[in-house]
Amino acid sequence: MLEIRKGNPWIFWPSSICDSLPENPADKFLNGKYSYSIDLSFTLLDDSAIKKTIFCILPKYTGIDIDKDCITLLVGYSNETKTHILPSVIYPYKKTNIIFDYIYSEKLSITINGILTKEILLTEPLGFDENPHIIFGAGNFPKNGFNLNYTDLELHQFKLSVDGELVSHHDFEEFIFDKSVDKTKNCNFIHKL
Amino acid sequence: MSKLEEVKNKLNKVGCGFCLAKWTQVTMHLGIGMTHSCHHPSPHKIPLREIQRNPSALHNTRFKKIKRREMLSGKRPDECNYCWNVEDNSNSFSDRIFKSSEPWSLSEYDKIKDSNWKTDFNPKYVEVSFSNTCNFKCAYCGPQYSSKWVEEIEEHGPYNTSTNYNQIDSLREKGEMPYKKSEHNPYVDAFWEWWPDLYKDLHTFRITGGEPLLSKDTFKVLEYIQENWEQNPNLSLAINTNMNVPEKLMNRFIELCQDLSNNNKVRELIIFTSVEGTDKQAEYTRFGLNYETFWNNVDIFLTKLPKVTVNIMATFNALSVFTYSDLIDRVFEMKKKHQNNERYWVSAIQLDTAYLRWPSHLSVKILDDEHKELILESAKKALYYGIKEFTHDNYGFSNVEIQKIKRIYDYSIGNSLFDIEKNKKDFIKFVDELDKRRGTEFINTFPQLKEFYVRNKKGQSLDILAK
Repeated sequence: MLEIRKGNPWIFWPSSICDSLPENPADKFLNGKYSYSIDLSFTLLDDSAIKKTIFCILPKYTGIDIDKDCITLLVGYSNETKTHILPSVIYPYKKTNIIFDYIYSEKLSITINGILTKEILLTEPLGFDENPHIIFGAGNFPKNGFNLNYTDLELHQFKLSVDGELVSHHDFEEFIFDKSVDKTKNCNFIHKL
Repeated sequence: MSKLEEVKNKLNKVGCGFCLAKWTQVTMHLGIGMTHSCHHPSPHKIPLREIQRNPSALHNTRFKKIKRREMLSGKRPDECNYCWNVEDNSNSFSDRIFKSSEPWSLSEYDKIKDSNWKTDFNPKYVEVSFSNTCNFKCAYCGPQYSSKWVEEIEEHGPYNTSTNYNQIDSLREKGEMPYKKSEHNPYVDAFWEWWPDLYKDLHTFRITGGEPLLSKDTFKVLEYIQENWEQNPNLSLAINTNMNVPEKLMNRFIELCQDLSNNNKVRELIIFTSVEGTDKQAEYTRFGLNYETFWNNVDIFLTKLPKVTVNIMATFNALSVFTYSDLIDRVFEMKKKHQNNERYWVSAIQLDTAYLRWPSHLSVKILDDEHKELILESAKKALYYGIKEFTHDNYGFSNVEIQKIKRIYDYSIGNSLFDIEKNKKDFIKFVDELDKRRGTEFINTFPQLKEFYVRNKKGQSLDILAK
């Protein structure tokens, strides 16, 4: 389990450290041009009414926030960001599972605790960027100083599949130098910011 | 236009073969009386008559001056074909451009282009090896760089590999046998005659070996700088050591380094050392090494010299694969323990991994695929120890350190004209002979290679039977 505290988000950006390893960094597949699925199990440890981000894909912001008990899904396209309110609730201190399933240029669906909560038929792909990454527990890099929306979270499991193949799997049991070890051995680690 | 492009155009105005390194840089192998400017042209013999007349002929040999004349008159010296190949066959900048772009080199452009080819020039970047005196005989080294190797070859002859590994007859024929410690070396005399004039112009001075700490000339250089540093307080000083010399010498060395570093008598001081594995396996490859003494000395060094960086030059070879990952752990421990914001270089200790090409029987290319995968696992370990933003307050492995390990894996699996079968046979002959001469036990030291050894040894026996 990984405990994330307000102001100390973690990030999935395995290509950010070395130019030649991992050989096929999984973050690159989040650039909008591939179909992928994120399966995240977590417990929200924050019952305040302040806006908070569970996770988001940057720099073209697509992410799941909680704002006054509402779950909002922000979807970043090439020229705009659309906001969707999800008809569901994430309860603090209760384990939650979110599956974020993107089919390139076709469909984006959100399943929460096994219930299909939102399905968006796409007319265009998600916004493209060459260096995408996922931040957990914040909506931006702390150094940027805006849209931070910090929260306290426990992450239990993270799986990223690309075109149906599992490319990164974390149960947050093994850590090396502030990096959660990727169980697939692909070195698609999640690390402390 | 990029800076490199600008430098290239500037050099080409003088001539398409013009390279400042021919004037500004030198590596002098005094133990064998040879010299070259950068590392690409082979070293050439320094005629004794030249240094008798002019000690700066350690760098300004007549041979080199003729190459300079070619450069100044628009020609490309043949000995520099490493760069011509790069320039003629790719869009990349050759080392002619990189080496000439160094600030200590480029600043001499006008002076050099307007100079007469016969004029002596004091180099700015100097590497010197005073002798081959060494207490190690590393598996991949040889008589030119190790007196222990000379002793072994003189006693037992060359290795019975297809290459006659480390035979010294050709060295004798070419007059390239190293001077023995007990012998008078006129090249060292010439160095000391030239040194006071050379020192004041130096940007970088690096002492290599042999084992430099076993040479009195190394200490003489340090003591000279200690006394005369005001003539050149901006010197970048680098010294190689195997970190395994007698305690008395190590203590004296540390004492001198403390004075130079703590009292800003040099601009920077970097220590270069080597190791390519851990424990018994490292000791087998670097014969003479005591692995724990090595780390103990590194630890003392980094503790007593808070500004100094230790750079490990690892020559990754077939015997490195099984413990390199453990070595990475050890280096990381040291990075963590000794990081501070005073170091000349950002990191307290760096692991600089290069692949071994010669002797080819020790290349990682001879190994089985499962062994090569271990190299990738080592690179992954380094990646987990990696750090994105490398600052004095941060420690970890840098992008370059990680990439260099990954590059070994790429090299190991890459296609090339490498003769794997011949080199495997040579490898078996080599380790058999090593064990016989040195009383080592290859299989006990490298149990991971037992099956590989037996299989290839059997193949060799079958070959002999067939003949």
